[in-house]
Amino acid sequence: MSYTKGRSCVKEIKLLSFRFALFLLLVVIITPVFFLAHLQPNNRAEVFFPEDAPVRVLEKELRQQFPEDDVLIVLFSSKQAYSDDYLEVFESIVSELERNPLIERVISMTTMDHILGSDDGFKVESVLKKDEVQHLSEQQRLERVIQDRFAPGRVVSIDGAYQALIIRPVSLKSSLDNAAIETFTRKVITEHGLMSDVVAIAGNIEIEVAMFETMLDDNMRFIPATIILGIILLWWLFRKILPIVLVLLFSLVAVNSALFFVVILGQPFSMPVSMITPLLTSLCIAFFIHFFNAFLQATTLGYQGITRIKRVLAEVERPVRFTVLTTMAGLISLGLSPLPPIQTFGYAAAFGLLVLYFLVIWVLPPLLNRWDKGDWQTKSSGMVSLNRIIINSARLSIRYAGFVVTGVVILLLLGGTQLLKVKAETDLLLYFPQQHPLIVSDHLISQKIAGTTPLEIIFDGVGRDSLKEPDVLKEIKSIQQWVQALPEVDTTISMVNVVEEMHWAFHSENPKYRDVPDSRSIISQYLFIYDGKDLFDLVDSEFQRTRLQMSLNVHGAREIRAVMEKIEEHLKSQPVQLKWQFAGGARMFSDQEKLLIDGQLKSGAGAFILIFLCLAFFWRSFKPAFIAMLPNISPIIFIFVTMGLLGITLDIGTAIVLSVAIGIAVDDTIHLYDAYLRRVKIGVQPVIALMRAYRTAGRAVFATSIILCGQFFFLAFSSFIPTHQFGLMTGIGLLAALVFDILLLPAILALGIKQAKKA
Amino acid sequence: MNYFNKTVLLGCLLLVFGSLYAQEFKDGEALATAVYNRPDGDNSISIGTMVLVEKGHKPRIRQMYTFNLDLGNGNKYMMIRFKKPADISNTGLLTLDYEGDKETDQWVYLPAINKSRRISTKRRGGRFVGSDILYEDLRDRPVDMDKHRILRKEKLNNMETIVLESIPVDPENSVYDKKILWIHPETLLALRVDSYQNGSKEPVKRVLARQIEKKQGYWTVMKSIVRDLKTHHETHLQINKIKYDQNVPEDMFSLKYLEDPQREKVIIKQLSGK
Repeated sequence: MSYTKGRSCVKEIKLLSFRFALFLLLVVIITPVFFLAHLQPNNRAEVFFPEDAPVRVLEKELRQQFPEDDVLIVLFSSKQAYSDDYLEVFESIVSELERNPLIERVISMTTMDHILGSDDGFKVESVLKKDEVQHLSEQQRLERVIQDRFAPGRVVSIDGAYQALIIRPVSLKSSLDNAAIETFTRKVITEHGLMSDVVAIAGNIEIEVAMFETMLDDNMRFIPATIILGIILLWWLFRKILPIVLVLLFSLVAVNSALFFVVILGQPFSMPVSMITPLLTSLCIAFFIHFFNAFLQATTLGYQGITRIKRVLAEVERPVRFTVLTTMAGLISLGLSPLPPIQTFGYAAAFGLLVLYFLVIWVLPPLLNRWDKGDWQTKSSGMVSLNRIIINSARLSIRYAGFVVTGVVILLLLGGTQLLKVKAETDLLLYFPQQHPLIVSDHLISQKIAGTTPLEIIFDGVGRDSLKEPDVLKEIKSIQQWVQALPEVDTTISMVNVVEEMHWAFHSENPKYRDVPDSRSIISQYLFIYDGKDLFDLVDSEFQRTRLQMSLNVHGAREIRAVMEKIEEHLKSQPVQLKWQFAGGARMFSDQEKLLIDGQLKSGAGAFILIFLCLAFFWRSFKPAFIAMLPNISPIIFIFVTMGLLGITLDIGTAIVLSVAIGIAVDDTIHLYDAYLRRVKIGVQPVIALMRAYRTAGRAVFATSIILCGQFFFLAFSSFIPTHQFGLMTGIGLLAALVFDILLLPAILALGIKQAKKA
Repeated sequence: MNYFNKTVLLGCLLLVFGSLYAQEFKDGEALATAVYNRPDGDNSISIGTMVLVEKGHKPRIRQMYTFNLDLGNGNKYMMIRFKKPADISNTGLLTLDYEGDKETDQWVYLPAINKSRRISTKRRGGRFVGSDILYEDLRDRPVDMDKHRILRKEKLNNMETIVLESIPVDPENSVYDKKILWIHPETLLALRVDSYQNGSKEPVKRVLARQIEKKQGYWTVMKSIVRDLKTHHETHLQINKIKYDQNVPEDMFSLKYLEDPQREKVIIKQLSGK
């Protein structure tokens, strides 16, 4: 098939043969299917960082030395918690869980180390292992657990009324592993009859599982619903079955192709990637509307059969090609974001779009030529009723061009102050509504046990065994004491606590020995004979790297950063001989926030520049490119103003809105402006050309915008905040773009025409 | 010559000479009893090294003396005295296993605070001085504490072995669910032991005998490796010198000796033949 410029060349357009088109369609349907099985769902925190990000490099290193940070926390509350029967069941749950190869260790009151001494003895026991505490009454057991140095605030509440089970996995590879652990844990607890005592389930594993489930839920419910909504609107416009069947088929192929590309890129199916489906489905419907709108017009003009299809192609191929390239430019600009899932979303969606273009322009015409038998309603279809709105608004805008432009400028300036209010947020908990069980659980655990935001300070000594030096341990102790006094810090633990406990236990529990020993030999010998497990969660086997673990009671990147800055300031003011750095989930949130903002600035600027260059290339001039950009900058400002006003944060969902919205929004401008330029070029008077452009392309623009907005707004019903915000903000952006396209663009062009006349 | 070659050579020697002593065992219990009662002297003194091997790290080398005394009827005493590195020098562990149901006694001595402390013998799963050996592995385990079953005969490094399965009669008294032992019938030594824990289908730990020698008429494992199959951490044990039947006094296995490393010097001299 080949195209040449202009409508006069309709006869020169050649279609692919029906068989070849069908063959190509089958190829693009079947090929991705073989790859989709390799798509790994993964929303784990490290996936959201580039391979070389310092925090990811550090995390990788830490995982070689220390156990996993991501845990599942199950909180129980039972009055019988300290009875023989209960402890037996609890131990049985723990041992069954530990048999699962995905679980590395279960930390609970029955497994946590309890160091104790006597006149001649020294023991490292479990806090409440049934056979070790059989001689104690329930009350004595309660006292033992709440008097333990490490258990309260970790595995039991301060008063012992709540008991936690902390399930620590082996190194996990995907969200499916997290889901498997969570399901298995629930199953084991249910089988042991303790599910009724479970009052909360939280922790990073639960967050990831909730994200995974919500993502699936969105894909199973909301996304099909948006497709159905689009189909209903498509039916309202064209009243034909064939477009609907083809939209469904082509959407599926485009989405599968994009996901195939995700596999090729070696990336997982993460939350931003899940947005590909609604995006490509919406774009598919938009393509079809432009295509069928031209079809309808050709029918109205009396074209039939292959001539009609060729006429349609001559009308839409060029603007569709332009719009595909600009939307792809917007999506590819997301590659400038340092966050891999956002890059993947951009590249994969761009690939899906390319496949869609190929399908609509190359494969669709021969199929339509063969399969389209019925009539096209030219009078009763919804398309006709859109004409009046478009023409009236364009007419109004041309007549009051000065007012419209001034009004828009004033409006944007007024809203501009809200731009500064937009904040970035990376805390995964804030991705869920306040009434979500996960949030309720997290609050309860924070209240009863300790805050669930983990922050660590990693200390590195110089050389092997450097952490056995008393001075070094005293330095860590002093930092720990300072940190513990911060109101945002609920609990802290370090290897110093273990050494102190051993010193105390070896001296018959004499309180004056609950301190760091003054001799290196003593420390070395304690560490030499230590046979528990907890110490090596805190120090590596080289005794060169250790971690001070903190539980913060704050969420949100800004609050976390404020705590980190306080600590940093304190450490800088002290003569600390150890090298130190932050780690843990809290640092990840904080670093991710910087990457989000950085990515937003880079991808936003990239989208503008790329799209501008594309437009300049299409029209071989910077001036029309500049004019076409104007109505599209405005909705972007509008998006951020709305975000500032509604307090919507820049997160992993909204970070892709700008590039997606500008990429799609500019399509309408291209359709309208290109229709105008083409008419001016063949000698039509500019104002008439403008009105005709709006009459022909305007209704398709209006219809596509309404459908796209409807679909994106529908996503706003998702209970998952990033999906909700992505849908809402993209919908708002596209709606604003439509308003600016039918009000601001004609006004700008009208002012230009007036200026040209004056000149 | 590397370990493998040595093992193969040793295997050939055992095949030639060992077959003279080959015997049939009617069941697992008979085999386990034979292994338990294997001649290993009334007492012994040895000097050896324990090397902790972890991928990506320099090995940690410890030198130690081990004193053993077998009084018969399950009364077995052992003292381990670490000599190197310097910061743990003279740290000691005393283990007293008694006949019948009497609980094992265990003490640890820390020279830096000049105190010895009894350690709980209920805690069987604790790692001994950070190695892959658990405290339970250091204790005597009479035959009747496990149910034994011969699984098959199998060649291991070209040596005929009998594969024995041992499962604790009372699961509460062991950290292991079961052990599979590859017993060399002529020497009655376990050339390989796979240990299972927490219902695992795969072994979690493997002990491999790497060098066996006959010393004073007693077959002795001179080199062995204890490997944690989950973490791949390894503990290499090597006996540099061993002497059996040296009149090690019973009172050496007391707190008095444990807390005074000078006292054992006389006995250590026997090891160097002075």
